[in-house]
Amino acid sequence: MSTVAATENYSDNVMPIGKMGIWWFLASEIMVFGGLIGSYILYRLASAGAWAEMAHHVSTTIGAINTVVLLTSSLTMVLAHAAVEDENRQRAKLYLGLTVLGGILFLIFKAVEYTTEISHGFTPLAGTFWSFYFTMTGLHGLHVIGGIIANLALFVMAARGTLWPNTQKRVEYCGLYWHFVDVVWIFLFPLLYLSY
Amino acid sequence: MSSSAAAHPAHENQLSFVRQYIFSLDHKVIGKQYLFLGMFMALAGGLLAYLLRWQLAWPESAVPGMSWIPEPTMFQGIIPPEFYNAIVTMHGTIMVFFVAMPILLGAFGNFLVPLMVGAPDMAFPRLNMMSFWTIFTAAMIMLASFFVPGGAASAGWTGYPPLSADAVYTGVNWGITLWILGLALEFASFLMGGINFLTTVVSMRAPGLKMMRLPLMVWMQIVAAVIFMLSVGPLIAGAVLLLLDRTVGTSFYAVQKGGDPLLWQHLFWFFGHPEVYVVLLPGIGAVLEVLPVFSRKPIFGYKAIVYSTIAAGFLSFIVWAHHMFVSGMDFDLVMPFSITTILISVPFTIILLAMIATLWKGAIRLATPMLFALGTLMVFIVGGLTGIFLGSASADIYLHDTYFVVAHFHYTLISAVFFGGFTAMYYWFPKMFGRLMNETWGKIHFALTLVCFNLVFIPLFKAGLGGEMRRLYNPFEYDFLKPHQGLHQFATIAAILLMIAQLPFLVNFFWSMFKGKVADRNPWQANTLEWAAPSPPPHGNFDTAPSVYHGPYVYSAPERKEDWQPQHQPH
Amino acid sequence: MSNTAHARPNYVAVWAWLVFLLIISLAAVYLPFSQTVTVSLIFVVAAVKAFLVVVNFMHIRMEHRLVHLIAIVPVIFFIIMTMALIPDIVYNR
Ligand SMILES: [Cu+2]
Repeated sequence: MSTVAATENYSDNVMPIGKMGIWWFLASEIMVFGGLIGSYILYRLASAGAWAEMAHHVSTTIGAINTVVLLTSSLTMVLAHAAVEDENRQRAKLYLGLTVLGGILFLIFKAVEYTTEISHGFTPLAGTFWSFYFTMTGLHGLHVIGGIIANLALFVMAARGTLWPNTQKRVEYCGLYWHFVDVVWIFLFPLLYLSY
Repeated sequence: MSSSAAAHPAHENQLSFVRQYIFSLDHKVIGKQYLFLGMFMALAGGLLAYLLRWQLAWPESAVPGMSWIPEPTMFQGIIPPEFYNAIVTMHGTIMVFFVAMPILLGAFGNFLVPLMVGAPDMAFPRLNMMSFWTIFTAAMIMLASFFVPGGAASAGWTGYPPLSADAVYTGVNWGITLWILGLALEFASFLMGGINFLTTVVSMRAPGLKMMRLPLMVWMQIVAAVIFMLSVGPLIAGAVLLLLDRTVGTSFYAVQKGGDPLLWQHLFWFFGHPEVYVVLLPGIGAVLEVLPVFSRKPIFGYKAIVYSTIAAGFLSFIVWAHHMFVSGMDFDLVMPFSITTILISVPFTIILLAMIATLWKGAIRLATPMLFALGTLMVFIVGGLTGIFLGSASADIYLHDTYFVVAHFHYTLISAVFFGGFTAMYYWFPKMFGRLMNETWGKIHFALTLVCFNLVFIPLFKAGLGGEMRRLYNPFEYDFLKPHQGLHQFATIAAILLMIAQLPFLVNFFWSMFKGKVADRNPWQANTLEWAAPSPPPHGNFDTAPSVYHGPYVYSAPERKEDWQPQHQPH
Repeated sequence: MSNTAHARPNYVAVWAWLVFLLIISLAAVYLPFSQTVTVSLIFVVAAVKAFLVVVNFMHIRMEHRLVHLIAIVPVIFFIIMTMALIPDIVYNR
């Protein structure tokens, strides 16, 4: 990448198109999750008693463990990005792999959670809280799956060596998305697991 | 340099037919695909308009020429109430989401944005292709929904629950599920499109093309893209909830089980009002391009227009509840939303004044694009002025859900989509197809369209002021509405004439595409960059990548021999 | 644009802070605070965590002004929308 503002008016240098595209995508994603989270907050404020009763049955422990898992995979993602910048291909491959593993671990914990809850009768139809719980974590889970697929593709490319010299910037773009998914979880965690 | 579309080889002859015309990556081909999809869907939406207009003029009588539609949809040409509901729902849905957006943003946005910023293609050509095939799928789903058991969606184009949340109310099960699915795909398609537009404009402008040198059409397209992008999210979330209510059996909107149907209305209109501007702004953008070219004058108040547009875009996010004054929402919300709504007329007034001031003392050429631009202006003013009545709650409580509203939003949307769209069509046709359209037939088309359009909707203002509610299957079952039948018959005849008036356009369009006079690069002597490319531009657009030296509206500069100064030519 | 020129945050330290904040929010729930204190604490902590991720992992400081707008404007609209709906959805059921 050439440095910024060498030719002040050639605007391509303001930002690479990949990064620009990802940020616009994230803007629309903020509004999708915003609409869902806003609806949840409003319904939560509207119905105090029965809701807290329902919300008591989520597993805060698994939620907290999953938060750590996702935070850690965010860390490995940013380390992969740093490794790419340092041209350290071995470390980039390692950290991309760890990020994928973190995402998979998150989904495994989530699946354990879902099965326990459903086996205790807390299905999406068990009440408004549970409807929201499954919708929000489900939508977030779909985003995690998307991130895993993207990171896996990058990992395979890194392992084969085809990530360089043209497409290594994708690690950064994919990272932006992955951190966004992490940020969404940072808000979902207190909303769903802590506010009873 | 980023890995953009910049390095597109220009040898399109080597591409197969499929790669060149069907799964094309070229923004111009994709734009034309959008155009033809929009025109095809306009036929469907127009057919529905014919059916519903007939039912309103001569209720429960056989619609001429429609006896072939089998039972139980229609009975020897007579429309049953259930199908009437599906007709009005799908007319609105198709016209807004599958005609207005594909034509104004999909077709003209796609075709013009890269050309006007001097780029060889969109930032993400593959994403661009995907966005077209996504909306194509969505359109096919919408059309297919007429053929599933129970027929198409019939809960109104706004899809309010509980009507839309449970099949017991409408008798339509699959239709509404497919409707939600089709809309979701449509939203996804335009999100992809919006990301593409915005990235192209931010990162791929030609050297020297500063933001404040962008043609106003590009400004309108990107503001529309931002508005769409930021308003549609909550509705996508709301649509997920609605889909779950319908399919899984959750109760987000079911009031008896702790849900709240008003939430949908809020989420819908949080998107719905900005959506009006999403289709309005590109239409206005086309007018703003045409006015300076055909009055040979710089645009009046370029910066004021840009800032007003951004202000209107921002304000459009805080006016939505003016659609809900009689929904039973909290009374404390009424006053703030009335105020913001009336406030939003300020930026639009500035834009309209700038348009009129551009005409002032210009050397006006009344070619067809100019005529349509002036028509847009006129129709939009009527639409805007009647909006003020609806924005103030005290008047709206009486006028809400009457034909006054119907007439009002047809004046605003038809000004942008129909008149604005035809402005763009006649103006950029030479660039799109390399040939000029026939002027005489264009003028005939304009005159007939303007007259017939007003004849359709002026009577509806009167019907609405007389208290006639929309969405009535047979309004004349009520004694006090019986005197309105004459108005409706008048409007229906005018509507049929309006549809016939489009025939000269269709003939002109297809005839000129193959037989029209060959156009040179710059038939209108305009300044913006698209006229620097060959007509039609090849894959990759420009012979040599253009640089920009000044703003887009330098007309009749006293020191020059010609009265125009293309953006890519130095002084 | 190469970010290597800029000082890189200590990512592991940021991660440690994030985990520490998570523990604080858990403590806020299990310790006998009043509901108001608990709720405000867990959401303040969430906001700080999100801020740390956006600033340190997404490097938003080094980005163009436009990126700041892209990140902030949707959040503002989200807040406006939710606030405007409070009288309707929360109090007027
Ligand atoms: Cu509105």
